[in-house]
This record gives sequence, C-alpha cells and structure tokens, in this order.
Amino acid sequence: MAAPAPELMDDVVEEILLRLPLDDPSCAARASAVCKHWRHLLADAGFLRRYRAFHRRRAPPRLGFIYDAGSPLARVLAGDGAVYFLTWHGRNILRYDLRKLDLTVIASPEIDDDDFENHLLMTTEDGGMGLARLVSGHSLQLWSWKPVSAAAAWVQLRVIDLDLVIPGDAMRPRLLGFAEGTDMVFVDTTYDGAQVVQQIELSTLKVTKVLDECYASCVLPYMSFFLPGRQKGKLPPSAITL
Amino acid sequence: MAAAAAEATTDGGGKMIILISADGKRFEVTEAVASQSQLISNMIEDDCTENGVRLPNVDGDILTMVVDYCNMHAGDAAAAGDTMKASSTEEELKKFDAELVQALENPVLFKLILAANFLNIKSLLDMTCQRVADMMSGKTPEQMRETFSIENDFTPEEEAAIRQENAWAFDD
Repeated sequence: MAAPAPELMDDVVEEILLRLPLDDPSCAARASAVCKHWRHLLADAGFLRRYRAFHRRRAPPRLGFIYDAGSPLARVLAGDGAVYFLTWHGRNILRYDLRKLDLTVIASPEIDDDDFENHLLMTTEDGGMGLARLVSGHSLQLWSWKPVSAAAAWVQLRVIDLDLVIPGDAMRPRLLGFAEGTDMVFVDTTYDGAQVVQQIELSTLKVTKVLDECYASCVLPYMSFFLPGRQKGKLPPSAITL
Repeated sequence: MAAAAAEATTDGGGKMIILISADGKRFEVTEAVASQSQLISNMIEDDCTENGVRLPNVDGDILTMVVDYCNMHAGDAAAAGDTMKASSTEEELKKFDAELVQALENPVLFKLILAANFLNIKSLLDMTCQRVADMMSGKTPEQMRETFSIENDFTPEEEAAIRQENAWAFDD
C-alpha cells in the first residue's frame, strides 16, 4: 500500500464493525485483538444492541448443535400461538392452542401404507406449521398447514428427490431437525455404516456435512449473535450431546 | 460570479448548485442529485447554497466519485417522487455500485467513506462500510491494524491473554 489510510472516526469504525460477516464469528474475535479501543467497542452493551438490531432481518448464525440419541424432535411452537406435537409416527398431529387452551387433532396428509416414512414438524417461512415427510428415504415432501377458516388444508409446497441432492451412495436418509428461521433441514445419512449428518438448504439444495459419527436421532442447532467481549471470549463447543 | 453560475438552471428547470472540493475543483449538479447528501439537502432548505458549497475536507478525485454515484442514483429519489422516470434500472445501479467498490483500495476507499460520512449519504456509507467489513474476513489482527493504520496498544502479555481467550479464532 502506497499511502497510509486516513484515520476513521469512532462512529465510522462502528459502522464497519457492525457489518462484520455474521457467519464467521472469528472475524469479530480477531478484530477485538486489534487495539484497546476496538476491544471496548466490541464488548460494549450498546454495540451488541445495535449489532442485533442491524442484523435483525437475518437469522443468527449457527454456532453448533445439540443432539440426542433418544427421541426425535416432535414438537414446534408456530406463529399462530399453538404448539404442535407429532403423534402416531407422524400420522396425526396434535394442535394445542395456547390462547384458547383448545386441543385438536390434525390428520397428516394422506400416505401410502406400504411406504416407510419419517416426519419432522417445522415452522414455515410465514411462521405457520409445516411438515417435512421423507418417503422411502428418497422423496422429501414439504407441506404447509393453512388454517383457512373451518376448512384447514394441507398445501404441498415442494417435493425434492434426495437421491439427486445428497452426494454418494448414502443409505437410509432420515430427517433429524431443522433450523428455525432458516430453510435448513438436517438429514442423517449412512455411508459404509458410519453416520453423517448433512445440512440441506432447501432453497438452493446446497448440501453441507455438519456432524460425523454422532449417532443422533435429533439435531437442534443453536444459533446466536456472537461477539467476543460479551461472552467472555468463549464460543460454545460445536457439538453437545445430551 | 459564482452566484451567477450557481443560479443556472437545467433544461428541465431543476436548479443547479456548485460543489467545490478542497483543491478547488468545481462540480455543477442539480439540486435533486446533490440533495442525496443530507448535509447539502439541509443547506438547500436553509438557502445557503447560492455561493456554491465548499467542501474543505473532500478532495476533487473523491468528490468526482461521489458526484458520479449521486448522478447515477438520482433516479431513485426522482422515481419515488414520481416526477421523472428512473434514469437507470435497478440492475444497472447494482452493477455500477459493485464496480465502484470492487475497484477501490485503501486509502481511496477510506477517503470515500469519510466523504460519505461527512456529506451524510447513507446508501454510499452503507455500501463502502460493508466493503471494508467484507475485506476483514480472514484477516489477522496485524493485517487489520495495517488496513486501518492502527497502533497496537496492547502489552505483549495482554495480547497473549486475548489470543489465549479466543484461541479458536486464531488457528490458521
């Protein structure tokens, strides 16, 4: 670089630090080692508030996973003020309305009895209840439940052929979880007897391997805005088993 | 004389004002173009632009970029007021913006940030700050200090402690 850069005033430096890449918390951690002033800036409660507000339209980045070898995730709280539970291997869904304190049973979209399927409750883009169903380990159906007056109905959003999406000879894919506020689902696949958890971005169908040999039946991502000073410089471990 | 020039009007009837850079370069722009700067917009409201607007902390080469940017984006404001058709499509604007910031390196980029901040042109400040933030991805603290011309004011012990605390962020 020929000439040194001109000095930026505090409010401009703050504007830049607010825009540090959200999906790479290490960048903010390294920035906090630049000088005392930056360290104070990044650790300031006001800065954290502005950082959250600035990125509020985006889901916080995924910092790691909690996974469990026990029961699969079978409940969601949707934007309509109801909790949904998956029952009877996904054939029925219980809806508990938290305002009316009213319990109803919703039948899942019809399926062929001969197929092996696995279900996952989700929240859809508009905050409603959604259901992902993996039929025979190949066909991923995405449904949205649209309560239109009395005649609530399932709307099929998409069908994705996982054989075309997941690379290699993956055996027996299973749905393990989803990341709320994003379009990511986590799928368990087996390669030569070893379990690999993969993340599928539904909009782009981009697949990323996220966990190796953890034998999970349920995966919950933990997502948070991370700034080094506030959390005493500690990132949680990238995977926690229950 | 400056007053006479500043009173000039365009064919469309939009009033022109003169911006004068630190090194004395003069730029004639319409009020619509100039008022994307909140600073100048306030000056226009207060009627103190007739002798030209002196910008003692913006160099001519930087002001050239700012004026280009404002000319290109003048359509936004005009379209919102529905007085004129947007002069450029959204796609053209995106391309123009991307090319503008991609081409810039320090120290010019920082000078443009300072100008956008001083003139209070929010969209330009947004875009240039985002560019610098993106450039920090993958940089070490030393490289960041170099980019920002910042002195390391930590003692070696303090720096070691910070690195220790955030060890996960430094393994490369």
